[in-house]
Amino acid sequence: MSASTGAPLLRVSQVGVRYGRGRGVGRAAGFVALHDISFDVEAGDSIGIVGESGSGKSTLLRALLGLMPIADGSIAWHGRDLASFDAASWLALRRQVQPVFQDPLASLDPRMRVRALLAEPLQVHRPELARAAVDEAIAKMLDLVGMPAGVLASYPHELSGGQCQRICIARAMMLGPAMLACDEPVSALDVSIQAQIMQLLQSLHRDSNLTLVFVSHNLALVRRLCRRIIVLRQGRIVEAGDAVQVIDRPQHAYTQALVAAVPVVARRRLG
Amino acid sequence: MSSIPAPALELRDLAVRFAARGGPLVAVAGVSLRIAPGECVGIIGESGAGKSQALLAPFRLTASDAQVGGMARLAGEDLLAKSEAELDRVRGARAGFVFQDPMSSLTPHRTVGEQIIEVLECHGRAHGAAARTRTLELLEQVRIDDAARRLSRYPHELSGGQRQRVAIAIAIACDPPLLIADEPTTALDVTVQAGILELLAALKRERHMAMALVSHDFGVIARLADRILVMYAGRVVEEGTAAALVAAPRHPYTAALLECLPRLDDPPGAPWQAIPGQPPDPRALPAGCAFHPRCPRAAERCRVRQPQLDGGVACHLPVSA
Repeated sequence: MSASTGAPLLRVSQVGVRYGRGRGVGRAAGFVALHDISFDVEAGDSIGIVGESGSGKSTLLRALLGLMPIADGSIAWHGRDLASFDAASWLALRRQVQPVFQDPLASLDPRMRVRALLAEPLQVHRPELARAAVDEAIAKMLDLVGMPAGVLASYPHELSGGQCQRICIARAMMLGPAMLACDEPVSALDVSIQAQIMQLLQSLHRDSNLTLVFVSHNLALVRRLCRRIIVLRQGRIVEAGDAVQVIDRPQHAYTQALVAAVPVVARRRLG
Repeated sequence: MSSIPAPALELRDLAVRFAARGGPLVAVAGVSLRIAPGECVGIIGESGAGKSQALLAPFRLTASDAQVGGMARLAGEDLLAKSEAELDRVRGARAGFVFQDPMSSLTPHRTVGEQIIEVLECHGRAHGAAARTRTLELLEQVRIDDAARRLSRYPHELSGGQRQRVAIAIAIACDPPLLIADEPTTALDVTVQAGILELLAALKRERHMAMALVSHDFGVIARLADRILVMYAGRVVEEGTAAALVAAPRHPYTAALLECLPRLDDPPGAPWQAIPGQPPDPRALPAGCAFHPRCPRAAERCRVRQPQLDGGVACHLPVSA
């Protein structure tokens, strides 16, 4: 994929998504999940998407990944509209943009061992690689995500939730993507394990200039990890900007309510 | 005879074991706690720490093959000696329960009204029209808008927060002196969570109800609890008043958990203080202190000798105040 100069890594312009058939009026018009969403993501940036259940966070992430058809607007990767993509372009995009989901166990094929799970992306996208090269890449990746080589023969159900999420991240990183699109990647994990995964995502973001799109309901996580934030409510952006500024001085009443609802211990030192 | 009333719930050296492949699985090992009327005790710990088992096993609300030892008294009465029929008259009547997922704790094919009335009739608290009136009052007490219309609604027609309010209405229907809330807000949005926590705090205050709150979230626990017990690998590792424990944790595990908690005033981009490793397998607990393999302060004796709860902390080398 040739990069047009000057265009951002990802440009989302006036995107709308509807569930249902999208014809007729009333119920038959379908449910408007996203409406008039616009933002840019620059290479190496980190952007948090927050909002309550049903606000459209996950739908937006799925649209960015091309997993959800959009009804209005456009999404462009390096200046090229996804709508114009042919099969080869999609294959190339898959190497560049990888998802990480909430439930790591559900994201991994239960019948595959860790080695096969990590080898699969290379077998699909780089079939020319010899077995030794694949093994070397896997060993490097395990080291990067802080897992011992001993897990290669394990099945996902033999690992803890945190270990499974590390494997999901390792699998997503196997092809050296430019961007990770994470949907509540630590919500299913215990607090102590959550910190381990956040540490990993933060170091990947910093050390590999990896672009992060991070969907979360946890404002404190987003404020600490992300440079920018988008606040969604009922499918619309109600506030966007610098993450620290938006959370510390929310302008929209909805953002203010979200911040005010964060339990006290989690903002003990504020004010 | 002392004039001090019996605690609403008292556990002494409670142990919960399961027969498992590869040896017995110890879910709870020697947990003691007292909850006074009107007091809220929060139990915090990670998945598998035994917090739900410690509170639910005495009521036989966990797996039927649980072997429960030690002592468990509800308002002075021995729970472990009770038959299943006797426990049926305790659960829902003298102790109310609220669980994590209201969608699965409510019956999907019966209306909200029917489910509350069922509890009232089952425990002989009210019948017929009186039960209906009482149900309406309960829905109002849990602050459900438009209560009269909600009576004929099914659980799927309500939002998650409303469903949890219905579950709370069921739990308090018979005016139990004790409410056990097991991760009551974990499945809810923060804004909805704030409303549910406020409701629980108000109910505790208005009804002088004893409350046991189980959560993995320090923010939730600190909002409601007067005292906090921290559990790790089936044991209480620290206990104290909520304010003291949060402000000056003494067990390295408590300190590390608080350190892990993301806060709204963390410096942006600050490195994350993770606890290395993971909680131990309950079938193969490490010798000595179960936390020692993950503990930055661990010394030789921590690997050998199990620390006992002493002065509110079970640690050979507690963090000094």
